[in-house]
Amino acid sequence: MRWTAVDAEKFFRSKEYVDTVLIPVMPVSFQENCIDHAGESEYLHLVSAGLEKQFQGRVLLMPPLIYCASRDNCIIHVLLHWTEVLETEFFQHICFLTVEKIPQQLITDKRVKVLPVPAIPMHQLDRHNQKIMINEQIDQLSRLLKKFWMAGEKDGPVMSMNRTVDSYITNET
Amino acid sequence: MSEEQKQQVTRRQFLTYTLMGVGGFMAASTVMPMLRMAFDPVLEAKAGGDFIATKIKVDELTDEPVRVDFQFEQEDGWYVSNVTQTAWVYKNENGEIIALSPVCKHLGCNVDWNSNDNYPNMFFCPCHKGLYEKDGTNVPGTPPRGPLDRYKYEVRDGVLYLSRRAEPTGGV
Repeated sequence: MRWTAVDAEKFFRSKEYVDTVLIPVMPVSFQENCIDHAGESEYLHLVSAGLEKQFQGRVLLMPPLIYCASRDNCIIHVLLHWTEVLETEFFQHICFLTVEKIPQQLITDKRVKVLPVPAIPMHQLDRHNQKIMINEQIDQLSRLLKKFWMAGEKDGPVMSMNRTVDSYITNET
Repeated sequence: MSEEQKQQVTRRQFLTYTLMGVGGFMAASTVMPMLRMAFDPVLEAKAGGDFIATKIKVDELTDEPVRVDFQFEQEDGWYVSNVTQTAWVYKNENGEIIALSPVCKHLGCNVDWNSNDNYPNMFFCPCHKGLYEKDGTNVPGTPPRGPLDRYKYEVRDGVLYLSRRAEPTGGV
């Protein structure tokens, strides 16, 4: 479900089925590297939309968060804040889609779950390759998301909160 | 009466011709739209292309469902968008082609064929564990309340063509 009136109504009627929130986190800058950041945001936007389309019955896709690319440690507090707020709304999986440039070690709080998306400058690819890249990325992330869900069922909602994203990723490889 | 006068159009003739011409024109302007309306469905069917070509040849299909993506341009007013549709296609035991929509009838997630070890040879929805038989029938006791939608299909020159939208097959 997306953040539109039609979907919000659907969400309100079937709240018990929606346990996952996706929030894309996009870098913004106004210097010479703004082209790269815009391209990465574009990519992130398409990937998150595709992910929502695939799992629209269980996932609520939020409008994106933006942050200043040169001071990426500022966003960490925002992510933590939103994780806390959404946890009180009984969402079990609160996932942030970020470009890999956010240093993962900055996120010290284990409750913050990040789905890393490689920073791919969309504008340097032709249309055909863009499509292939995006579909592959969506496939990869949907596998990761399914893993979150399966682990959540196994050890219950409370335990899954304490597991880190890294443990899921290393399990996969 | 001289030869010249004979060939001249009389006043009576001139008026008759004029009235006939104008009358005919008026009659045509009322009858033509009606004729056009009557024949419109025929004309449309000729120009129409409601079926979209896929990249699948019918000979390649087996009794194992395969994922087929196909694209078309959709005009919505002046806005043209590229739509990608997905279908799970296979041949049943009678040799008929079945093209199922992957959209779960519960809340609209995409179902997968044979993706869960606990439910082999079934369509499984990863969101809320909806289950469907191979022919798209929903398994009672799982969230979905109806069978998967089906695409209409056509075969032209051995290539599979599918309808733009899947339609419900009925039943609860």
